[in-house]
Amino acid sequence: MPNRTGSFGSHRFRLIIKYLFIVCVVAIYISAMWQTETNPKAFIEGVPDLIDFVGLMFPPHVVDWNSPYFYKADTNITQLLWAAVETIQMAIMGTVLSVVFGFMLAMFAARNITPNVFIYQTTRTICDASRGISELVWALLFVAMVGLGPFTGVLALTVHNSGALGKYFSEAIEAIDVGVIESVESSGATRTQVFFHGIMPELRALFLSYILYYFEHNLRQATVLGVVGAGGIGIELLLSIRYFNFDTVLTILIIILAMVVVTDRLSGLIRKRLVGGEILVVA
Amino acid sequence: MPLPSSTPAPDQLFYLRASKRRKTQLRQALIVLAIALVTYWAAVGTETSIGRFIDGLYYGYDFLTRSLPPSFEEADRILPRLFETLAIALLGTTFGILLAFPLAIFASRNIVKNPLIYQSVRFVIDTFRGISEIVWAYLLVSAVGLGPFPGVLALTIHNAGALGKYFSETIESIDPGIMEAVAAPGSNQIKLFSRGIWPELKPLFINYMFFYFEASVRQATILGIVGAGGIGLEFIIAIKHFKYPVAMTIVFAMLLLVVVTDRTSAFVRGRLVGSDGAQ
Repeated sequence: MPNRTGSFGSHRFRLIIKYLFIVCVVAIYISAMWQTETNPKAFIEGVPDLIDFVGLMFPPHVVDWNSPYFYKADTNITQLLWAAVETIQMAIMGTVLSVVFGFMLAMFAARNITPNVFIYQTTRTICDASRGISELVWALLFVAMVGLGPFTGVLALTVHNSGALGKYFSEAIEAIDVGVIESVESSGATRTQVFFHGIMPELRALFLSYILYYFEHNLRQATVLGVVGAGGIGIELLLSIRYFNFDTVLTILIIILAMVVVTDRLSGLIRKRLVGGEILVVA
Repeated sequence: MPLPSSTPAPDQLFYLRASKRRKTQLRQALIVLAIALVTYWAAVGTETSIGRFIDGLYYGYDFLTRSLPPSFEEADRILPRLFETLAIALLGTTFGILLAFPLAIFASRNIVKNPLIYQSVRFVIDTFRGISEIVWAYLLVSAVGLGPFPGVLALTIHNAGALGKYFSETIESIDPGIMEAVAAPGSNQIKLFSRGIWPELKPLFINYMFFYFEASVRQATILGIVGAGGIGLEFIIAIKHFKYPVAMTIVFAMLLLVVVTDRTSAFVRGRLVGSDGAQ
């Protein structure tokens, strides 16, 4: 906090402000805990439930030869792996489409290459709105529109992440040197040419690292879209929980974790080579 | 590009450049082809096609006619849920940070020398982080029952993993000289930490915390979909009852909450760190 010594900046006054601030923070936390029923009692009562639950999940279900449960009987590892492949496909498709739309949005949402303030503001608002609503909400809306299936999941990923990528791309474009853009523009280049010859070469590494980051993010989100019926391994998770097949749940969690960790590590490696470190983005 | 001092003859240079350019062009063409093939494979697998997009436009229009204008008939139920969402996000971030610090310290190679401890804590972090909030929430709802409490737990777990990873990477990037000074016998460790290490880490940590608070608000809006409290609960109820105008109002309320918290948090972060925090 900046130190200001205004007319009221006496020592005692600042002390009072400080205590008031602390009291406010404590009050906020207490009301938050009260509202969410988060208290020591809930924690203590939760522990045996959690242990029970973990006990139900072990050992993970791999192949089931003669199961008494009817859902379990037709859940086998191949089916789960196919659902995992579908999840990866959704993440790929979602990333490709959101990169395309993200670039389109970014071209109009970067202040230094957009001629018109109105267009710029409108595009910004579109970016903020599509980004501000999370994938799962989009997925539920699209399920209501176009029905169940992986295509719905792709739509949800695309809409949310186009906004996010549009925002990050345009911020990157706004940060580059105006001279570069002007020199390309002065040679009579069109907007598209400015984009591909003036901006792309400058920001290629940064763009690629954002894209990789969003692929990781999309994969993680694609694993849950199935919970609302939008394809991928989430649907298996939903069914296994609904049918109380917690050993299958553990198998699914292991598959999800393996996919996510392998992708994270790979894209982390590539990103380190591209920009020499992590980038901080919030999805 | 500046030429090296032993410049080849101009005609040689021309051929060198031409062959190099051909090689890059070939490589780029192969990359584009690979991306195209993978995209095609993904499009087939997810039944994505231009036709479906065009059909989707009609369905989208149809949906909008049924859901607009938004209805405020259940507005009195939405407002308390918004506060609940904020409360879940706040507690989930706070507990996540508290849990992330010890995890990060035990996952940093330059602090914990034992590879067994270091690797197993890394595994815990990966598990916490790799499974998304919604899945954690769903599991915890099955384990401890419905309500906002499993939502808080889910955010705590995921944030602890995500922040733990970033914190430990930041700790690992500390200058080894400082670390040696801290580890040296007879050194005033607390003083060294507070003077030597903490000032370096503080701005990064604060940035991460605020970023994860913003992300948590976003995630807290959907935890209700699996029964873990917050505004998402009202949303799924409205959708399941086909009350699309109400669902629309809730979507706008979510959006408002996210935008307002993003702006506020960016403002506070800017005051604390003295920049907008972008790396």
